[in-house]
Amino acid sequence: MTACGNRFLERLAGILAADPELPFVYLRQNDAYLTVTRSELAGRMGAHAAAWRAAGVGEGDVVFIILRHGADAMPAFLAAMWIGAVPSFLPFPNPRQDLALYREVHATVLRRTGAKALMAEPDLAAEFLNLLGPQATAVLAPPAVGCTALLPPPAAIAEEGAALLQHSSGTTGLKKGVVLSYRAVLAQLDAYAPTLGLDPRSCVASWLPLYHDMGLIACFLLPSVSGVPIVALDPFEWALKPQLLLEAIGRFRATHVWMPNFAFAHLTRGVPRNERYDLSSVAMLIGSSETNRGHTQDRFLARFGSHGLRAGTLQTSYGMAETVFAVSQSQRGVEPRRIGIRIENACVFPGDTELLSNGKPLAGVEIKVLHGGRMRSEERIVGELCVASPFNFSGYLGSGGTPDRFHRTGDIGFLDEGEVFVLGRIKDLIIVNGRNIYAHDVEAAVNDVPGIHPGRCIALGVASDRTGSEEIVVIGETSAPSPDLVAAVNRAVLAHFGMPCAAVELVPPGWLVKTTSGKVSRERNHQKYLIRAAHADATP
Amino acid sequence: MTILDTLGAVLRRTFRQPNLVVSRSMSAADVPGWDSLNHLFLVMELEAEFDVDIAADEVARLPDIGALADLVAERLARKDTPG
Repeated sequence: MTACGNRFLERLAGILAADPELPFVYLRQNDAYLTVTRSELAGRMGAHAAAWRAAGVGEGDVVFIILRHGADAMPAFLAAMWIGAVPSFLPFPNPRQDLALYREVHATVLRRTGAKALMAEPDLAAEFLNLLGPQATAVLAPPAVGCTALLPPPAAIAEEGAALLQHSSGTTGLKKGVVLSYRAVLAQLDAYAPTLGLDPRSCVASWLPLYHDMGLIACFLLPSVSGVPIVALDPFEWALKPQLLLEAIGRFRATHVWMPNFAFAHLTRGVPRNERYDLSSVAMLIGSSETNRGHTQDRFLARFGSHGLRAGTLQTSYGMAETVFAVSQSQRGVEPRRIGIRIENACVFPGDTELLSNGKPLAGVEIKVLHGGRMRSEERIVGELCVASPFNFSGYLGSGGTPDRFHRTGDIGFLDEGEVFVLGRIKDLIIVNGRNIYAHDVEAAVNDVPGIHPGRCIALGVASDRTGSEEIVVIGETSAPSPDLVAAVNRAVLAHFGMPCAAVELVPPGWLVKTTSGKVSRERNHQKYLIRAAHADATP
Repeated sequence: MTILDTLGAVLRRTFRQPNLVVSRSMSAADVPGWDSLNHLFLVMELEAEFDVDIAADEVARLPDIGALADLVAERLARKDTPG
């Protein structure tokens, strides 16, 4: 057993050394599965470790990785940790994004974080090199295909030190790096793993991108140090062929799957009906990263129950990057509890609004509700959920100071019978298909569109029953509405975020409701939009 | 009704854009709601509407609606050609 004083790296070393010919990951690429064994991963990690070191990367250095789905993302990340650096995945540019804008935003992130190095695909690396110039950040491409090297002993990094960064999805100035220590990551894995029942037959199947906290922690690092093989699909390919996940589950007898609520809806709608799938191996199919909805899970089960999926396998979890990942988890083998509620004066009473429980907090987690300026421990009081745990983050990179013991999540919810229920958010955050988009970033992008009156637009996150997620709706005031202006607004949002609006509503000047202080009111305009949409639906 | 007209109806229905005006030069980026997930449902709607086989990734590579209309026309012609 390798002893370096860091239990995460020691566990990883133990996994790589034990049964080196066991599969580490089944990687789908080019319409086939590439099996990467533990020894092959170690060899590739050795090559990556050498590449990082050759770029001047050492202990404590922040490094970024922008790679396509492929054989290099995982070893690049693990090798950076192995030599004591602090890695972070950033999303590979979506083909529909404005590439110049993408490079500019991410170059800003690299400069601001003082990143020591960036590993990117060769074409992207060359572009970043041109943009950044001969500055402090080294830009490198992955080692040549097939190149391997002996993996040196892991660095002796104190567990209080930073292990990795996770990034929020904001744009300039808002892309905040969440610093997670080894202590926090280990505490998360130790608290979360027992709720999952992982054993030698377990297998995780995932289409989630690795820059996403659920993809990174639940579907990559957790199985990596638990000796559980991973089936890794390309997120872009999965979006077009959602049945790939079901085929992978059957082929590799996958037992654990995590995905946001929208993915349950996408699979229900998008998988061809004439195919049979064997989902009998699934022990837990866990919804997280956006609001879990009971009817979405019901439709999923109705669609795939005849393919071997059992009711108790559909599970829920609540988590966020600032707590590494999971804060709570529903009980394995048991359907998450549903309750009908109504809310009066911030108190929860029996009623007609159905909510799905996110399970009980993990061991060591303390949840309080901030209401009326006080932290409350009572149940059925609605307020901002605040979380203290052994795995809370160390702060945002460069922000200085230590975060409060209770992290204010920005989510509104309550506790009932010790379980976590989430109602919505107080932050101006729109979660689209599990991805966080800040409304004011969208508004800033739309404000620059000629024809939209400056400062007279608003972005809303509107819940969609059809997609099982939220959708971006932009309402902009203009004196000259036209189809071209709708397209221009949509293009602006697409260029910045790689995803379009669900709707662009052009309204006459004065339509948007302002607060008494003259600001455009998000809440009141949201209500006004919903009333207008309901009226439009009701009009024949 | 031309293929472009029918395409317009499918696009309006799929992406829930009742006021969408479709032209050959329009691209996916011009259409609110046309994301990578809904792209799959557009293809399913097109297959059902025109009774032809179309792959989601080949549509994703097309530059504009005009090219999509041409692809549909080509598939319809192939379907009508014996043998």
